[in-house]
Amino acid sequence: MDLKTWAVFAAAAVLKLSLNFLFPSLHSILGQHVEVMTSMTSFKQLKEGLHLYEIGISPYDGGVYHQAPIFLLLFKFLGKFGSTAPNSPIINVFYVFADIITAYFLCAISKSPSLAKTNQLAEWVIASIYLFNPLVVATNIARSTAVLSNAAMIGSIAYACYNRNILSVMFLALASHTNIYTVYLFPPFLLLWTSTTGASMASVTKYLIFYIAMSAGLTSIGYFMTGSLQYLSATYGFLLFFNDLAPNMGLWWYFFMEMFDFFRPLFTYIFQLYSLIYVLPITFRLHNYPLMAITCIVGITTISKSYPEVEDLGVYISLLSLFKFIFPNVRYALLAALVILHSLVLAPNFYHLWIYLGSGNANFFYAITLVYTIGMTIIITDTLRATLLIEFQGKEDPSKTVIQI
Amino acid sequence: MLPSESAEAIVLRRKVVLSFWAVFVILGLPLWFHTTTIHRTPVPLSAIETLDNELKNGLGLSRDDDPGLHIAVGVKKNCLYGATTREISEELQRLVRTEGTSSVFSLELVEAQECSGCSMPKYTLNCITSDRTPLPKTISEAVEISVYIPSNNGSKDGSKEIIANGLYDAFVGDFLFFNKHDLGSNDRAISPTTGIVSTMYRGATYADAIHLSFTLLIALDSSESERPIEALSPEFQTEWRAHAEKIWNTLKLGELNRYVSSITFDTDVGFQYMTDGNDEWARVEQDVSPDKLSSLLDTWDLQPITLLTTSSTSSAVKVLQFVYFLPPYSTNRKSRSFTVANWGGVVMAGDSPDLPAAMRTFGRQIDKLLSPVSFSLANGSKSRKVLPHRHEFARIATIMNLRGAIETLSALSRLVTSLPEMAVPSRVRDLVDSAITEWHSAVANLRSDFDQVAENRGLRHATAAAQFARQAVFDKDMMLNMFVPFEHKIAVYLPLLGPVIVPLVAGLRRVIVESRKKEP
Repeated sequence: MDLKTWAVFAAAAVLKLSLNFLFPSLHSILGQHVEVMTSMTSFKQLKEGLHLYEIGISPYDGGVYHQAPIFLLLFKFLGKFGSTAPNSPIINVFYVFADIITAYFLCAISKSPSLAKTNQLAEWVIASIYLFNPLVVATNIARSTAVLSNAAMIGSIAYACYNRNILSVMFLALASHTNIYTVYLFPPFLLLWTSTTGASMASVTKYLIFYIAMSAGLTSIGYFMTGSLQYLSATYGFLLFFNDLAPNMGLWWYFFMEMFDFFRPLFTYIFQLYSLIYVLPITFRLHNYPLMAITCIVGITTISKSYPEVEDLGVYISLLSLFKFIFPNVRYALLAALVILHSLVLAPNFYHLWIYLGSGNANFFYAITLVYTIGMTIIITDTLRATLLIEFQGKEDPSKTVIQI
Repeated sequence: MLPSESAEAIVLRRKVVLSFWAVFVILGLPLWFHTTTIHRTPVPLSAIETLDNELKNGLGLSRDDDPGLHIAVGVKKNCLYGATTREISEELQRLVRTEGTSSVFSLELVEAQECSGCSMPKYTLNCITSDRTPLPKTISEAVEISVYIPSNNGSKDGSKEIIANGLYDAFVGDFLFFNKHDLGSNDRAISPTTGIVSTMYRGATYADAIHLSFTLLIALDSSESERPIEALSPEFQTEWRAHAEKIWNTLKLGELNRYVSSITFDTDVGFQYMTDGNDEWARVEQDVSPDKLSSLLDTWDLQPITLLTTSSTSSAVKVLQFVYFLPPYSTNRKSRSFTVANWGGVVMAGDSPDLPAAMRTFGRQIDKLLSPVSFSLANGSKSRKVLPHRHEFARIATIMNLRGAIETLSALSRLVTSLPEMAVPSRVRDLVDSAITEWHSAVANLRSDFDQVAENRGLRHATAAAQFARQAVFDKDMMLNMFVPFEHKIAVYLPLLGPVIVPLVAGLRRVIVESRKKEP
């Protein structure tokens, strides 16, 4: 890793530490924004759960804490080195470290053999796109636990790119344990893991069994911590069955607020199925580009998951930055960027109008989430189209250039 | 012209299409079927119908020695005027339905301690212990419930009727099953003790001891004080007593001996000696024509009173007086008036009083003393008197709750039968089963604890049955999913699944067409 990249790391660390030092209340302000944090990643609820766990009460009994139990162990461990307040030094350093390690993994991915043959952005550029992305910075300062989940996911991709498959499986299991939608990445990860040895039944079975074993091990941690498996309904069940109708950047909450109870189970399953149904087809279609398949699925889950955040968009954009070779074929970049930008600017305003001033209503905020989703859809389809075009172009005469009219 | 697809591309496209269909068919269709299937847990409709028939047939509570209802209502003071009895009714309902340990033996109407002369009377319910100390709306070991009414400076005619009608509204109208209530027929009534539907309804007496006093009161002028007053002859007194006994027999009071511990009466002859306004009483024998008195007594028109069964409810002795007051000679004796005294009774005055009317009033007073609550059957039968007792109240409320429970369950069964598309959660079945179980417990208690009122177990079971029935009918999952028309379902499914189905079908069609083209 070159000096520029380390300089970017250092600058990002200084930036985030400075922001926390100069604006101590910034984390609470950002933490109140539904675009930045949801009930599945809230640090405040993590603190509640940690307190209940430390006094011997199951953190999943109160209906407040819905995150993975491993976070409780992690922050309890961090608590030995100091306060676990959002603005405490140990938490500051920990979250800065998480972001830097994620950026490090992204840089490593860009230099991996999978992408070595393609035209790549410079490492420091890739690191900057992630570390200085306002969405990522805001999420980091707000202390969302999505930072840690995404770090695990990116780490899994990085290890898979370097054929360190066991570690990749472990990190993927960890990421799945903290964010269940990461399970959707298993099929494209299989392509990565078997890219050198070939996708035989034996290898697929091996990685599947190992993944299940790792996941079971992490699930058992929660069992031993809480004494029962009832926490699964408070974590994964809460996420999958969409029990919290609080507004967020997703499409679910508005539907379910106005839905007849008779149709609620059907819509819940259909909405969850909608994000699942694309996994296998995309994996099959982009079997030559497993990283792009992973990126596409991350993008689809960003718009179709039940509790999305802007951190997901930040990670998706950072993953897209690894594929410079598709940029020339992207046609609607400006449109998508403007749509996303407008939605991100207007979303907090409309939410403030609706909730605090009372001069708006839910339709204001939901319209912006729809615009946000349209922007994301444009990006996903455009990048997918660009990838398929690259693939088509690569199979035909490479000296010829396909011109789309 | 577009370049043809390579074989590898065709295989890849098929995999993509089939993977979509695999998820759709393996996961989507079963989930769609599971989440939209109307789950109807079978409700025991036949059991509900059986309970309904059981209630109509009297719950099997018949007893040969049904003593009827018991209520003790007495009028201590006649200081009443018309006012709403809703407070009384509601309070009594509350007491009956919530009170579990007290036993009420009598209801007394007593003068209120406060609000003297209020234009709007206020009724409060207090419980009186055996030592007559009222308790402020708390019931511990009360033996009586008293209704306090404000005092009135003057008495009014028919005041007893007013309070009696009020009690009737309070007890009869709200608690008891009379023909004027919705029983489906004006000729029927359900005995609150047996639950049997019948046309007769029996009441009971109130007092253990009744003392009737027939008094002849003759006022003397001071100018006559020197006139020698012949001693009332024994014949006169005998005549007086004979006529009083005639009244007694006519009233068939003798039959009350079975139910009342003692009934006494006396026939006094009293004289008011008025000297310069002095109302000093003096009993002086005086010569009063027995013939005149006899003629007066003979013209008394006595209404027969239907006697009622009873049981002893109070140890108080009730006194009722009939006074025939002959004013002084110097005064106008031509008045035909009679008054109803504050202390209860009739005072007849004048030379030619309206004896029939006076005696009718006196007779009604005796009726009300014995069984003050009266009502009329809608079929024009003679009035019946009912005196429900405390434990009968509990039984009444028990039967009412059972009736409410079965009506609610019947409504549920009709709802379930008439709407085949309505979901019936398993919770509703559990609630119905619980209601039926509580029903049986309540009926068993009614059958076995006929004279036991201490715990009102039957009432509790019946209340629970009614509550479970209500929860079953108004279950939120059932009511919210009560009716979703099929057209509405299509309108919801089409925009949800249409955009997904179209490309899937198109892709599958292309795969099938290509497969057929390949076949020779």
